[in-house]
Amino acid sequence: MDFDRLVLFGYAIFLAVMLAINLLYFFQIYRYRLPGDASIGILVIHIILLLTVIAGTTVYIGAIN
Amino acid sequence: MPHLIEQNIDTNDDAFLYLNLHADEKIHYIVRHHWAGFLGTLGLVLGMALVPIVLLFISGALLDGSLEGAGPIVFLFISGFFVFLLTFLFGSWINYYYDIVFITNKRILNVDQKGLLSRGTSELPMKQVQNVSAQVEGFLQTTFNYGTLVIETAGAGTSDDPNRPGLQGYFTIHDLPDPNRLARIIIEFHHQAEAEDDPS
Repeated sequence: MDFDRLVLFGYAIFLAVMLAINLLYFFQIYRYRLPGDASIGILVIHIILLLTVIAGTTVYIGAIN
Repeated sequence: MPHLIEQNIDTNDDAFLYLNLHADEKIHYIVRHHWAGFLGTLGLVLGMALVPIVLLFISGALLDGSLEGAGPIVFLFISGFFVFLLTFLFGSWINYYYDIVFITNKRILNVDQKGLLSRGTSELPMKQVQNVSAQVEGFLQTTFNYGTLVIETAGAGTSDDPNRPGLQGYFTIHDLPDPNRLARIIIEFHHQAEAEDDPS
């Protein structure tokens, strides 16, 4: 059980780092995007893909515990 | 490819403030790099995404299901790997998409996105343009009509070619759509700038 918690904690730290990097990218888009460009569309697709992976993992972890 | 070269731009938008446009300066073209130049990165990421799936398939076949006990850990690792890949792809896309060339009636501004929160802007006055050449090389570039624009200048130049860093007297910009048309446009603006300086 302790090992599982350690693995989950490591995964949580990793996700936090990835979230921070993504927030910096979001800020970059907010700061430098030009009117009418494709940034928002790609950003929405990126967020949907990220959430799909994270939500899928959460559901799986929840199901086996 | 009309979406690659934009015209009719409202430069009053705050998004253009960082370019420090002159009072009588107007942006005529916004040119982004051609999407085909991003295909290499996209292929790399798609190839990397297949790696854990292939490894799982091979491991499952070779170890005859002995990975079952380590299932959750392997699943977390793969999930983390995909989160990393998506973030890497998004960052690479920003690096590609936010490399922009602005062609105004006075200058050529080359905005170079270098990574997370790092941008460089180099500018070349139209009056300093001496020669513009377009290079379209290889199957992909010929098929999709994109290539390298080399602008010879009277002053110091810049280059994003790793083989010719800091080359003096040349602006080298890779993966631009329709480089021959861009070369013609720049030459026309150069002639206009010269005519404004010397009305006789």
